[in-house]
Amino acid sequence: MTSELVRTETQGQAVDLPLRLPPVPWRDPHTVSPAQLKEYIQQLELACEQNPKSADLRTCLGMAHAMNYDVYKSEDALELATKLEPDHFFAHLKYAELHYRLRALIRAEQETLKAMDLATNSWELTLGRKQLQEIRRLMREGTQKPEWNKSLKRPAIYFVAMTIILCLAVYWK
Amino acid sequence: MKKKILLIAFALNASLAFAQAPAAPAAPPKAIMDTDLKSVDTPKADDRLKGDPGGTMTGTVADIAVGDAKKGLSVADVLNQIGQNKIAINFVWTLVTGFLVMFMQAGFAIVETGLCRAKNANHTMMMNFMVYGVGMLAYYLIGFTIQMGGVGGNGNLGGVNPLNTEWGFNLFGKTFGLFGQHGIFLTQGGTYDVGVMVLFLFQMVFMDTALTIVTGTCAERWKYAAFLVASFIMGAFTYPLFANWAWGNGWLANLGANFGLGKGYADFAGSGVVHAVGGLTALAGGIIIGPRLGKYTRQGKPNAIIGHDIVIVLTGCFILAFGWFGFNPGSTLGASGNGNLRIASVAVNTMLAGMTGGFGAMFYMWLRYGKPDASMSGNGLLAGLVAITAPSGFVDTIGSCIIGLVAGVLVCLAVEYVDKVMKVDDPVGAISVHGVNGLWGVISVGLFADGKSNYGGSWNGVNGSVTGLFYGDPSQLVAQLIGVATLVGFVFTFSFVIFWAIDVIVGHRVSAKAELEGLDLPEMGQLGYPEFELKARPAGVNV
Repeated sequence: MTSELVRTETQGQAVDLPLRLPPVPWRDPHTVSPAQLKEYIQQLELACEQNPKSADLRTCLGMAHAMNYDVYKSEDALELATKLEPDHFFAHLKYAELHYRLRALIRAEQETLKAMDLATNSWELTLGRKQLQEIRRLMREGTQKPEWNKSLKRPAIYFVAMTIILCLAVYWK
Repeated sequence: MKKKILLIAFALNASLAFAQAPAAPAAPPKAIMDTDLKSVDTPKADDRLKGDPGGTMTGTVADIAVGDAKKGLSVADVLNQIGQNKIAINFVWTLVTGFLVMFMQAGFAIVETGLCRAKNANHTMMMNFMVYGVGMLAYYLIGFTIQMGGVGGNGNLGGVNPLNTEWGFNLFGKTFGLFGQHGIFLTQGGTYDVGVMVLFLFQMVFMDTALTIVTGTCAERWKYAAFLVASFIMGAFTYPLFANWAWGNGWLANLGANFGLGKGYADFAGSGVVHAVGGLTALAGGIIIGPRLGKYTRQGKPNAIIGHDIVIVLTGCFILAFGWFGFNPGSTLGASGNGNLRIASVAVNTMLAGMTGGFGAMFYMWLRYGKPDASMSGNGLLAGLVAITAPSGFVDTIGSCIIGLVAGVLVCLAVEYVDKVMKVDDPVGAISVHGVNGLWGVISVGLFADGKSNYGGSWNGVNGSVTGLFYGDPSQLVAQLIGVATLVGFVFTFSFVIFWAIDVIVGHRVSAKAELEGLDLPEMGQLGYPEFELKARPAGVNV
C-alpha cells in the first residue's frame, strides 16, 4: 500500500503523496467492547495479510493489540510498521506511546524524538510535543534508573581485583 | 664503658623485675551474711512522702522483694534480685530491639512502593502490610516450633528450657538435627514461658523481614491471593527450616561440634538465615512469575521502568538503617552477661558497613554512568547492612568497612547482571541486595572473623570464639561455604517447587489488563493515590 500514490492538489499544483489510512480509527479503549475489538483485530490481521507491506495497517493493528492489552503482539506490529516504512510518523509515535504506557520512559523518549523528526505538519508536531512533555514530566517525577548499556566485564574485573587486594591487606596486617 | 652499660642494663632489669613482681596477696573477700543486710540504710517513710526529685531514694534496698517477711532481707533475696535484674535487662533489650526490627516493615513497604509505579502503590503497600500478619500467623501455628522447638536453652533469656526437642537422624555416628518439635501455639510442651515469649517475638520479626523481601521482586504483577499463600508457606516452612539448621540447634550449627569445622555455621544476625533466604526465594518467585509487561523487548533487551517516588525510597532506607540497630545488636539476645557488652561493637560495625556500602554504590554509579544514582545509593546502604548482618558480632571495624564496601559495589554489579544477563525482572533489586549480599555476608564471616568475640566462652557449643581464614582458622570458611551451598541448593530449590505448585493451583500472574491498568483497582478496589492523574493524558490519538 505504501507504494500506491494518490494525486492531490495543493495550492493549485498536483502532487503525488503516499496513500495513508486515517490515523484515528479507534475510540477510547475503555469504550470498545471486547467482542467488537476482537472483530476489529481479526479484520486488521486479514488486511495485513493481504497488504503485507502496509505500515498504516500494521500501526492500526499494533494500536488494536495495545487496546486488547496484548503488549508483545502490539510491540511486534508497531516495530514491523517502523521497519516497513522508516519515515512513518504515526508508526514511530505509537511505538513510542506503547513504551510510554509501559513506563519504559527512556525508550519512549527516544522513539518520540524520532517521530517528531518525521512530523510533516504542525498538527503532527504538536502530537509529538505533547507526548514528549508527558514522558519528561514522568521522568522528572520518577526515580531515575540506568539503562545498563555498558559491558559488565571491566567493572567485574576491577571489583574482583579490589576485593582480592582488600582481603590480602587484612591477611598480611 | 662496656661495664657501665652492663651495670645500667642490670639496674634497669632489676627495676623492671621489681615493677613486675606480684603485689602482696589481698585480704580474702569477706562473706556477706544476712545480718550484714540489716544494717543497710533504707529511706525513711517520712522522707519518701516528700517525693524524690533527685532520684536518690528510688531504687534502694527497700525495693528488693523479701522472700520471708519474718526473717527480713536475706542474701538469697539479694542474689535472686541480681539474677532477675540480669534477665530483665536482657528481656527489655531483646524486646525493644525486636520492636525496632518490626518497624523495618514500614521501611521495606515504602522503599518497595517508591520503586514501583504509582498505579501499583496500594497493592505494593498492602502486600507489605499484610505479610506481617500472614507471616506471624504461619509462624505462630507452625514455624516457631520447627525453628526453635529444639534449641535447647538460652542463658541470656533465663533458660527457655521447654524448647528441648529436636528431630534429627544419625549419620556417621553424628546427629543431624532437622526441625524442632516443641512450641505449637506457644503452650505445648511447657512453652507458656516468659523466656519463650521473648524469643518468639524476636524471631517472629526476623522471619517477617525475610518474607517481605519477596514482595519487592514480585511486585507490580503478583496476584494478591497467590501472595498470601506463598507468604504463609514461607513463614511456616521455608524460613523456619533453614533457621532451625543455623540457629535452632540444627545440623549446620553443629558442624563445629560434629566435624570440627570452626564453630559450626556462624550467622550472627541472619545474612544467610534472613536475607539470603528471602533473596533466594525472591529469585525463585521472579523466575516463575516472569517479567513485567514491557520490561524486556522481544530481543530480550531490558527497558528501564521508572519508579514513582525517590523521596519515600530514601526515607525507607533510613528507616531500615534505624531498624538495623535492632537487627544486629539485638541478636545477642541480651545486654548483660555472656560477653553481651559487645553490643557496642556490633552497633558500630553495623553503621560503618552501611556507610561504606552507600559510598561504594554511589561512587560506582557515578564513575560508570556519570551520576550518583539515588536509588542505587540506597541499595548500596542496604547491601552493606545486609552483608554485615552475619559477621557483625565477630569482626573489627576495619573488617566491617571492607565488607560494606565490597557489598556496595557488588550490589550494583548484581542488579545489572540479574536485569541484563539473567533477565529476571526485580523492580526493587531485592535479589541483589538481600540474596547476593546475604551470601557475601555469610562468606565474610569465614574470612574476617577476628577471634576476639567471646559470648560466654563458646559458639554453637564449641569453645573459643569464631575465627576466620585471615585470622588463622580456614575450617570456619568451610562451614560457611557449606551454609552457602545449603542456601542455594535447598532454599532456592524448595522455594522454586513451592512457587511452581502455587502457580499451577492458584496462578501467580494477574491478567495483562490488570497489570497494564495498574493493580490498585483490579486487585485492591482502591487507588493508592486517588488524587493523582495516573492515566496518560490524551496526546491526540487514543490507544
